[in-house]
Amino acid sequence: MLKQALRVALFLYVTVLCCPVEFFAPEPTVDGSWQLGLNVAADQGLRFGEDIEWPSGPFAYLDSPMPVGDNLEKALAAQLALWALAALALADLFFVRRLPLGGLAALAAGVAIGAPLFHFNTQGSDSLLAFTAMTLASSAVTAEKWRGRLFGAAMAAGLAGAFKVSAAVIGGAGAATAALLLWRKRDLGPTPLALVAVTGPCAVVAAYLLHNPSLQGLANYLGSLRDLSAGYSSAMAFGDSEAQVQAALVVAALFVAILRHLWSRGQTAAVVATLFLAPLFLTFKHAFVRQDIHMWMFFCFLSLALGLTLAFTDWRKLDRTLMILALGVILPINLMMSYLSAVGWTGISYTKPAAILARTLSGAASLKHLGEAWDLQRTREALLARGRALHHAEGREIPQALVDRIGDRGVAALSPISGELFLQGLNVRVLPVVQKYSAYTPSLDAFLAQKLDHGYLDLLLFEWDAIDGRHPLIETPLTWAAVWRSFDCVAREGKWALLERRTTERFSPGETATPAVGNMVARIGIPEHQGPLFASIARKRSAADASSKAFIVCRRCRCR
Amino acid sequence: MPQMQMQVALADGRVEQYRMFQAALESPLPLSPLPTNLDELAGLLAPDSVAEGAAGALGLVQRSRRRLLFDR
Repeated sequence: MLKQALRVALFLYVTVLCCPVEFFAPEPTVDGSWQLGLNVAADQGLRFGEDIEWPSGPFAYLDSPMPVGDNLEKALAAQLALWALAALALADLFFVRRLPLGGLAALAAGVAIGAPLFHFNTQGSDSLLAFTAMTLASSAVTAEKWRGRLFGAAMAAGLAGAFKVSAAVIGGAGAATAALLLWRKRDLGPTPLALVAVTGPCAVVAAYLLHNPSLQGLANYLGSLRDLSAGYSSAMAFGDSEAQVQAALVVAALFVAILRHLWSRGQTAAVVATLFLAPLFLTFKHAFVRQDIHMWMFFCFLSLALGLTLAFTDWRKLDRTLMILALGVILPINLMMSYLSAVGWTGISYTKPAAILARTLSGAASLKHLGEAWDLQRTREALLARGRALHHAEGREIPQALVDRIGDRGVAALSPISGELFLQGLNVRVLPVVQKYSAYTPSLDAFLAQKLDHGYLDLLLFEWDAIDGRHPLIETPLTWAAVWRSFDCVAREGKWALLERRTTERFSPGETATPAVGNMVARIGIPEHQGPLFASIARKRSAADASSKAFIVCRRCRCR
Repeated sequence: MPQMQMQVALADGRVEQYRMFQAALESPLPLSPLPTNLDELAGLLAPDSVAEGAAGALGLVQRSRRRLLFDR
């Protein structure tokens, strides 16, 4: 009886930690701006692959819902559904598989440390879906009845793609590994692999068609995902402390050591740990391509991986000294990183560790937004008021002269931060790439330029600031050419310039020269021409570059 | 960390490192004027301004080609 009560209590605790319900104010930040852009795009019925392009999936706005239209209501329904899905996957381990209480306690500890991942940077439903996929995959590879569980894992991974592609790739890698293990270890033939190969992509396609029932849109969307993924590492590169990389490598190496030990002792948990190898590599890459706060994702995900592995571990058959030594290094590092992550999540100062730990480990932080769900109208007003206060504090109110000049015409922000357009009640148009800095590959630049050339927008509010201190136009030469060709600056106020579409183009498009490039700079020949000139300089990525990019560190290029 | 880097040998023998982004390598580059601040942008986009021709563009490329090609 006591054991059953403990089992139920642990299940409830882990389920509470997985609560993804969240609502957000439009904040005057780079991330707050694209999240608001996705919310406005959803409210206006804009379609991914046709009207807009963005690295997240078409339902990402449900992951960081803002007070736009009825997005809060839709998001609450979606988040509760995802929470229920995660609870079902956990219930399988707690009540169907009836794993030992010690293992379930270890799982609870892992989820408690990794829970900030479910609220990372005002997002987390995608990570919760990836965790659900990994939970079901873990159960599938260790149970006799594997079909339903593997189907659920592949389905959850595919659905994650509707929110964030990286989560789908991570969850999908886990489901694919599970299928491979079932094939090889249980001699089940290729059936498990076929199940995952069909279910995962079908879920991605079904989610897109639910968003936009258009095969052409789907094809465009899938093509844009490839382009976005290919350019992400180079465009978003942002390093930080090497100590964090070293710490990540240490805990990863220790996880592999635990995995090896589990295999040597013939433990079922070894199969579960193996599931996480590819997802951990992908998470490492995801976390350290743009390091700053993203590196927390790796440590949180590793805690979840460790929790699920230990849930299936039989401690009686282990070298306890080795396990205690490994966990003695991993846990403090992961706890510290999880704690730092929780600072951003809870908004509590890092100088108050007791308050942060109390709120996160008790589950109070996970349930923080659930109370706001009871009165969404009140929540909506509170979030709008908070958004306006934050923009006011940052001095980001658009001057009245510009507001008057814009009037009720549609206007888009050509800048990294853009919440003021919405908060000041202007007729917001969403930039085709949602936020200017995301036009970081040639085809995205071309997509934005093409939309501008075809009269998609008549008013642009331009701000000189750019992400990471870059030049705001150098990475979007086609966009700059389109702006220069078709827009006039009709007003300047403070940090903003209002650009209005011209009645006639300043110069005609299509005057493009492609110089022969040996020495990148000196051998550019400039042909005689009366109009403006644009050159195309292509550099193919070598096989060595491509492979080194897979391991994050890009090779140095030498200019001869 | 994961940024692309390029070493450029200068005429005086020094070697400089540049950080580059993919778009800067594979996109068409505007050899014609690229503004360096909001005032220059407003000037280029003034309603009565006209696009500069090749001669002006060449001059700008020679003056600030590194700025056009690389983000340091």
